[in-house]
Amino acid sequence: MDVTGNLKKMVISILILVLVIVAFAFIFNIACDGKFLTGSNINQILTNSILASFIAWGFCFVFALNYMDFSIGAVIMLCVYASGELGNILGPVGLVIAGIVVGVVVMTFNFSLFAFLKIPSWVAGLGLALIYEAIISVYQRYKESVGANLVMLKSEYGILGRPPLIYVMFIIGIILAYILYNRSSLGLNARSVGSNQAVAKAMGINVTKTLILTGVVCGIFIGCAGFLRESYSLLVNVPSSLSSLAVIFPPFAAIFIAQVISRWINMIIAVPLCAVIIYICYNVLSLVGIPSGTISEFMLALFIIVFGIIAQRGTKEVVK
Amino acid sequence: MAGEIILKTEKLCKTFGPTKANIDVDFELRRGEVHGLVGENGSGKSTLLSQIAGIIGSDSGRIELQGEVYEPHSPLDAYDHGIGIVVQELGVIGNVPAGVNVFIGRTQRFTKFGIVNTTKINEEVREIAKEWDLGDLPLNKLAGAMNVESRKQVELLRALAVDPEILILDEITQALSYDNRRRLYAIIEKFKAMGRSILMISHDLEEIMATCDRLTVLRDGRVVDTVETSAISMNDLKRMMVGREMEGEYYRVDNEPSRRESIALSVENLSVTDEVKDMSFDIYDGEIVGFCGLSGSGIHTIGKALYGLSDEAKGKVRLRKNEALIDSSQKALHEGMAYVPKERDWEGLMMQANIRDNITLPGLDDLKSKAGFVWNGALNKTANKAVSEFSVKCNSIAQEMGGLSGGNKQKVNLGRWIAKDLSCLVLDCPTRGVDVGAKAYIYNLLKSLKADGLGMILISDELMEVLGMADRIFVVKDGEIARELKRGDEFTEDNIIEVML
Amino acid sequence: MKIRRAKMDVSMLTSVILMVGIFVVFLFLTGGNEISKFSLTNIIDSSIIYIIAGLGYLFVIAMGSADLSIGANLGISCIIGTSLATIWGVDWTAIPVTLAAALGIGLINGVLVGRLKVPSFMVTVAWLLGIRGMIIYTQTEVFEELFPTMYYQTAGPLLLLKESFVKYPLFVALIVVVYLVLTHTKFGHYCRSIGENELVARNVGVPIKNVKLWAFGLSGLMAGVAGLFYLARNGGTNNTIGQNLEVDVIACIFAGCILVTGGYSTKLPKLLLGCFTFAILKNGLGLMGYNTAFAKELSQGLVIILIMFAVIKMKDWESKRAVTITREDEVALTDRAIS
Repeated sequence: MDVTGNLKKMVISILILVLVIVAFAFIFNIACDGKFLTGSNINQILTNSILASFIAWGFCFVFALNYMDFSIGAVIMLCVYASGELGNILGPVGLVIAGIVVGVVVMTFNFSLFAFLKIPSWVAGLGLALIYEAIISVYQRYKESVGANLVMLKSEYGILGRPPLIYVMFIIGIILAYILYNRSSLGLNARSVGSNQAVAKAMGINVTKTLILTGVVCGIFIGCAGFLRESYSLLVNVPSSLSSLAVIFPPFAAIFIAQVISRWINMIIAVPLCAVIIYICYNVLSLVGIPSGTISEFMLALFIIVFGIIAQRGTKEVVK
Repeated sequence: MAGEIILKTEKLCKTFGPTKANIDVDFELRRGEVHGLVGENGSGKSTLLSQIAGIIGSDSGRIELQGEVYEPHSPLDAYDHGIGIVVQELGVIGNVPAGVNVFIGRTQRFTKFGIVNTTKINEEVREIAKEWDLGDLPLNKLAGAMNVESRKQVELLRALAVDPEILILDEITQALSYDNRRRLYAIIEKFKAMGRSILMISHDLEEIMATCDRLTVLRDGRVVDTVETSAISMNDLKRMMVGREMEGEYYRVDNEPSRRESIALSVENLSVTDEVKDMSFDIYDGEIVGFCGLSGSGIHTIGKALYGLSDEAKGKVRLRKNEALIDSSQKALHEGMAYVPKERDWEGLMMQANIRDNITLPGLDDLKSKAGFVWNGALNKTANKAVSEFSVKCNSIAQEMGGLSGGNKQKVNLGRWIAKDLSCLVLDCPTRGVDVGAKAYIYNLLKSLKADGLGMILISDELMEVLGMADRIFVVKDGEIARELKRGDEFTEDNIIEVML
Repeated sequence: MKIRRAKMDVSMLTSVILMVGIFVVFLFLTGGNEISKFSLTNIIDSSIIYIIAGLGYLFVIAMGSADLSIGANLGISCIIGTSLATIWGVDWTAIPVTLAAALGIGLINGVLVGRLKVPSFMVTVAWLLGIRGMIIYTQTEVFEELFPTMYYQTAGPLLLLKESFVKYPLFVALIVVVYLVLTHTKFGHYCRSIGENELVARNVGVPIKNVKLWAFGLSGLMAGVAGLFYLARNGGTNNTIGQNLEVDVIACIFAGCILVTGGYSTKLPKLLLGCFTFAILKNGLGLMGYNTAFAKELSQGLVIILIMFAVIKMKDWESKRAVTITREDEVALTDRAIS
């Protein structure tokens, strides 16, 4: 993943990719009798892509530390409910604060756990996902016991997750992600620690500080994903039996594809583009009449596997 | 100025668990000198360096740098005190570009508001490379994507970037090609001329004697003596390191090549991407064929290709006795070939498994019972036999592999093949990082295998080893056989070096 | 120099202690209730599905890989099996078809991981979600017309699996067979050596691609076998078939103190101990009145994290004892064992 890529090459690659996407969009439109290129449809695709991008950007920092955190889906759900509750009390301000605070606290905790316990992160992440889901089910039972329903955000507070403000969020997000990941000393330190922690430490990088700060940054993006989701849906169902994994599935696929094209386009910028591709596919499937959550998931699985194969082509390393 | 003591240790001690790695080490480094640390594996030389470099702390004793007490808590500390380090334990950070690696941990002056200016970093790195006449490197490339030699160069640049008074080099030359080795020697000369000092470790005794002014010999954690290089001979040096007379010849005594009539392995048009170019040769039963060359010459790749480990290999490697084509490592194993890789700790042995499982892994096919099962009784028997036959020093076959010394590990690495009915043996640097006693043992083993009629391929970085043990030598340059030498008058170091460059 | 037999495995001891410990803890907490519900057949009955799946999983974890698709595999294989049986109208064909489908999916994983080098946890997580999507699809009306899995009622030979005189002996037989293959065959040794150090295994000549192919194949196959028991017990397929299987299995593996990197630490008795520990845990939490979803998830999560932590600490400690000198962990750099 070359960070300081050739600027001209990158801009050209981006333009090519965008043109390809637009071309496909027109083709799909014809195939779907013009139902595809409607304002609300495109809005929905873009909104979903932006939500997924925030999650994927958070993941970029997870990958930088060489971690794989499967609990992020459940963490997002925690942020969702927290921001819903506080949002109903304090309005959009409360929404944002709750989401970000919960995101930061939990992700920092996650990273500390990974570092301290020395368990492979994907295993620990699964365990944490289960624990967080358990916590959410406790929360749900508590709500039931006091006679309330699951938190539903008042719709007037849900402005951040909808156009036009969501596009503003996107611009803020991508600029922040780009600078933090590629150009800041935090991003560099995170990648150093993830690459070779012992050497990084020996060379004077404060590993603990790096882990915590990266946790904070990652938590900010995850928190944003959380409150944006709540703003968009207003009411979100409780996850169980690792269904929270489904939340991170599309961003995951986006990062994968982004990693493969990271030779030409910087990861941070590639991520939203890949997310758009994925949600276009989802959308086309549902327009054709396939119920959501079924074949689309299978298609996504195939995407991940195919891009996984491509990414690993020519790998000489040992792969478990 | 020159001759004045710049670094000194007094009664330095370091213990790891039950073992005393450094006992009362008194050592001094003078300005303007090149000082070598020599000793067998386990003598404590790397432990001493690590303490000076700030990688580990000392238990007792003290270090003085330029007259003041010096207690580094990290390599960064050492850097701040003007000590540049290139040590095995450090290395580069793979996910970060090479240029940034040179200044890793010290990027503060290139950073404003948290943003790092990589262009400025690269500029300064190029200046440093120019000042010390080191080659050009692709600084934007991720260090992890570079080969071992380039990475070592990055480490060297990193050490030089602090403009150090003392440069510590731990086993660096073995990773460098001849040109870069020459550049390194030039840097060493320059250091001397500037009144700065170099502290180096190398297993290559010839190199150490040629490069260093003084040598400190360590044995079993203690300093044996510090001597002027000009005042001792190689044999004296060996004697000090081992503490006993080397009995008889290390290598072979005979001066003529010998081999059987039958061909063990025949290689036709072997090529591997651009590392090995269209090589053809035959290995006869009962002969030792040496392969030597620079690190980029492809000799190690040849070894892998012969055992079917190279996916990109083209051409034919054939076992003559049954015309079997070796195109995968499982085929090689099945047909009775054996391969002893260069990096025994992570390519040859499973360090956390026990001795028994390591020894029996290549031989599982032979240890099967009639029903096809592999019972522990047979495994234990084979392992115990091997351990006693090769005098492997261990607590029991249940001991973890990582608990053995280098020499004993190598005995297992090599010995586990011997029990099998071998058709051909490929060895890559079989005595690398092995103490003198175990070396002699291994050479004896090879001599007896040769007498039994086994064809062997000896790939080695040590010219003396190849000259001492082989019947024929193929000198390899840039993936091609530059010259074939036969044992006898042709076997001189000059003959090899002439063609190797 | 004394030459002794292999010493007692510390982690095996730990898993025994763990099981007994948890049992005692719940004995107190439930005021003795635990014992009355605790009978061997009860435990086996409630956990037979994930124990059998775990038997297959042993091969995957021995290599240091992961197979999170076993639940989805079980589900879709049963669905395919029962659908075809219904279409053909011959009951017992569900058995071979289910097994074949399960084996097939396992082999596909083996190819993806072994030959195409895609990381196992990634592939199998993708299947986990993707195949589950397909399973949900099969329960929709569109699909139902083509593949009437809903109409299947377990009958014929499959019902035999409910009978004690078939179930228990078969269970024991499976355990014995897997034990022999894992511990006393060349294949089993190869699986474990790959987990210890794949590069070394390759350099010796272990046929890595084939071993991986069949290890994942076995994992899939055993998921299929577990599926047959599921069909016997539940009478047919449904929406949530196979859900959570992989998490149960992983929790059992870790509760048995098998390392996530596998290798020679992978021993079948540990799996059984782990399964018992886990069953006692779930049972106990249930008796204490915790809502099942919460109890299940919490116990799974805790087991995975805490046990893993303990096991790794144990392995560290064991290594430190075995090696005569190790470099300090002040800066955990490459080891150079000196003696």
